[in-house]
Amino acid sequence: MAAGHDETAATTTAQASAPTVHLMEALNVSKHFRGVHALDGVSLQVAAGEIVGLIGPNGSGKTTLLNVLSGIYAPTSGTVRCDGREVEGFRPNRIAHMGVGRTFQNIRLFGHLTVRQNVEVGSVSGHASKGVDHRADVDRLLSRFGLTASADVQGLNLPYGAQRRVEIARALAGRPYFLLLDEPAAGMNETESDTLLETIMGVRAEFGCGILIVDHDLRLIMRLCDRVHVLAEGKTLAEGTPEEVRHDPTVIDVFLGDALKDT
Amino acid sequence: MNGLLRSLYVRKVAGTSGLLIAVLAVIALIGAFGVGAGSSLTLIIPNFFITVIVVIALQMFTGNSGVVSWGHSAFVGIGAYVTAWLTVPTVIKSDVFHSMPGWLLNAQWSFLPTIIVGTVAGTIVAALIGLVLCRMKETAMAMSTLALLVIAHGVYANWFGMTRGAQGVYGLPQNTTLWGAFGFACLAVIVGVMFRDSRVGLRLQASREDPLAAEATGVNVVRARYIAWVASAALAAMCGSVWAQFNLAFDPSQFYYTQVFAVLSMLVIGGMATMSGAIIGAGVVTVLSQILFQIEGGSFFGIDVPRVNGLQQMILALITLLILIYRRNGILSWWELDEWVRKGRLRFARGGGPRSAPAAGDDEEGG
Repeated sequence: MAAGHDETAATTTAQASAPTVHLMEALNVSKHFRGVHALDGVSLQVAAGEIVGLIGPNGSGKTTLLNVLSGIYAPTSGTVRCDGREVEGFRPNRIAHMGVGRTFQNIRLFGHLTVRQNVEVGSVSGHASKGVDHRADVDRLLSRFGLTASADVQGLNLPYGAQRRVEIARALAGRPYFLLLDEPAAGMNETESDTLLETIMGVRAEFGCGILIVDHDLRLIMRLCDRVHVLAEGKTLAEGTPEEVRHDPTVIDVFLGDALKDT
Repeated sequence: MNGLLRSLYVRKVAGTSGLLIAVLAVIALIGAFGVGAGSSLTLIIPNFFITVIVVIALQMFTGNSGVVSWGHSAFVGIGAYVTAWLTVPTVIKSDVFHSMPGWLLNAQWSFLPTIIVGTVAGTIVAALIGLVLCRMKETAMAMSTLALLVIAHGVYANWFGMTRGAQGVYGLPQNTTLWGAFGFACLAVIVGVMFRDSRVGLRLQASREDPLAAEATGVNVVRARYIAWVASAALAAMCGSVWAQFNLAFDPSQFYYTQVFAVLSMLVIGGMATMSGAIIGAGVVTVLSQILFQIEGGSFFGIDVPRVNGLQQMILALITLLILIYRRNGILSWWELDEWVRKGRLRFARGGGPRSAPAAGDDEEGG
């Protein structure tokens, strides 16, 4: 599966020069559902410390790619590597143990467990859960995300925005190297999305993880990401810095239209 | 696990199980000193403790995993039959068990060793079956437990040389006393609470809420279910062994649908998610069954009432339905008794603040 290696050079941001940097990569990944090519030979890399945006119209395969990367789907063909190890077809919990955390488009909390318990599950089940002071870890995350006051409230009784924060805190509790965020800004207004931007920036600074973010909020994506990967009908349409993607004529012509000109 | 966390865990377990054991102890004291020798309570109370064990067994698996098990009566049966093999006097054995090997014919075990072996036997069988069962999806697994129940019943009813088939087994010595039953009920409470509040227990509850999100968070759902399955089957087998030495005779029909439904209805009524719910469900059903049994017999506290056969089952089914409709998480919903007490006190101290009730909004998620 050598195809797709030509893009490797594009992954490197400043951090990638260090030899120990964590790297997650999809190489020529395809996923077919009974003949529907949800993904068709997509390659993508995320290194620790960088924020990569994944955009594209509905049905372009963004969530499918996230599901392949997190082990929820096994790819029909292609390779997924986590720090050089091939992990495609692994169960999600094994991939989580390789240091991959994620959130879901339609928030999936452990609804009847308390906020504290939600985060605790992440802490005791993550990839680096041995010899960790879980309680301190959970407390720190709860206060970091403004959840201390609602620690004993059941997840399903929280307002929407707080549920999003619990999901991120839960994913981070596993001390992931990579964080996959599936439409975290969905349903948010501009103010909330600005707060989210700061939160995600803060997460990178504090936790140093690589972040792959899927969202339709281009205002957010363009300001947040180091690189943007554009999918259309399961194929890579363009890849580069927000500036490059913004000016890429295919991207503009094919489907982004006027949306980018406003930002 | 560091010291602080461990001490918190111990405190949480001690808080919940302490209060529940205190409640059971009061009932045991009533049973020991508060009732006359001929009273039916001398039977009802130990039977209640035995019921508590099996309800907790089912709570450990079904309550924490959200996967309904119809098969736990099978393990109660294993515990009971192994107990019969080990305790029935040799004279009766040669009459009852036609194909029993000689070394087993002479076995005359006492109370505790028998229970240990009965429990281990159930555990081994559950460990083997669980290897297959726990890899299934939730619905498939529930259906397979039903199959397990039918298969086990088939074995008990037809392995004539070792079970005497449908005629059943008799002649067990009465080793289970009121305090023996109480002791094992307490053990079950402690094991159940410890499991629920353990890491595996927490992971399993996460998988009950959302298996996919749990896996993506790093939970090995199959492994968590397997551990719970084996542990809860062990408790069920232990219950069978304690029960057999109290009931003294039994037949395969006592490990079948009726018993499974009774135990499940206790869990539903009390609340599956908590140990307190399991015990209160067992209590409510036991008390109701006794009252209804009296009415069925044509007398209600001395007043003559019309005889209605099957009234017990009908009313219990009705109550289970009403609970499912109006309070579908059971009487205690998501909080243990000690948490209710603590939060109730909190509310009292704050002068009845509206948001301090533990159940605030817990039932509103609807259908």
